[in-house]
Amino acid sequence: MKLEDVIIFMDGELNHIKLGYFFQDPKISSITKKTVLDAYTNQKVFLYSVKSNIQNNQKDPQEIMNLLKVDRLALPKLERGLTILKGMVMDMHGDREGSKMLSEINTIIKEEC
Amino acid sequence: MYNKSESLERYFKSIKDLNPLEKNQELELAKEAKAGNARSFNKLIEHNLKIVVTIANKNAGRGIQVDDLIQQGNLGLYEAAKRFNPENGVRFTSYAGTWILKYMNKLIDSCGRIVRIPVNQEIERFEAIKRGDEVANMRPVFIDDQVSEDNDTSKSDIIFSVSPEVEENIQTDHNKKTVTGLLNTLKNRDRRVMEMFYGVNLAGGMKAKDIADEMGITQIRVYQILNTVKKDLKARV
Repeated sequence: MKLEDVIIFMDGELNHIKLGYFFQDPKISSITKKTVLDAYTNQKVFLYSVKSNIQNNQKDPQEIMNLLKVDRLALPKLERGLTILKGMVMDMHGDREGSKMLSEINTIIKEEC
Repeated sequence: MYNKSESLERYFKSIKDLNPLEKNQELELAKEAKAGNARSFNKLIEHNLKIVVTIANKNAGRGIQVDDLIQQGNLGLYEAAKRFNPENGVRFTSYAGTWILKYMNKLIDSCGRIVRIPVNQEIERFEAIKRGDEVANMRPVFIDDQVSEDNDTSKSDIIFSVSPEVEENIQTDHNKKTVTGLLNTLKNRDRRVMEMFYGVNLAGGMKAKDIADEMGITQIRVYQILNTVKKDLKARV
């Protein structure tokens, strides 16, 4: 799917970030090795909660999107954002260490949510 | 802003016609490169060499010469091309920018000052200078600076004026043997590239461009060899 921008859930708000200059966006360039895991976790949890809201409430996804004041492409945009953040974790922590961290986070989220 | 050396001028001439790629061209090349097409991989790198120069110029004045920043930035560009995932939809130039800067920051952090300060502090201080804030002790220290106005001795005289005994301790035979032993395990070509780049048994290290000319291979090939050999040696040490 061709997307012009992605959504990153950060600092309690949904940030629409253009893919063309993604890494130069001030929100993204401020992510450091220390904070990248938090950014990934926040995005993952947010995406998980949106999805489970849709499933549990049996609501029309568009209705949820309207509530969140985001467009119909919000889910793919959030998912793409998560994929990019995952890549950033691997880039910043190295492939082996990064995979291990991501796997731990994903296990925790599964257990907690 | 800086003194262009002859090799830097030659380098600028050699990349003069390599213009940035359009989004679609970039995506196509990245996909082909990911699939293992070496020519596309090289093209992706070559057409982004100018970005490295731009970023190097922006980071001039942090204690490292521009040509060294470019050299280091090119390594970052190479790493970015290796790791780039075209499926994400992010522009390669945007992704490469972070790697180029990361590699340059690493060099600045390790060589830009006599007393090392952490990378994050270094960046914060640089950002502060760009904003025009006053930052203490920001001027880079040059080893040829005089210790004081009424003293002819330069800092390099002090740093390098170690006694022969101390020098012997620093560069022990053991270290030399280890390095030589490791280099001897390499293929002839790889060993030569490493020796020339790091100046082993030479008066000083050579630039990747000069090594490429000397060996009759491309500059990108030089970076590929350096990267592969460094990883290989690191795994063995």
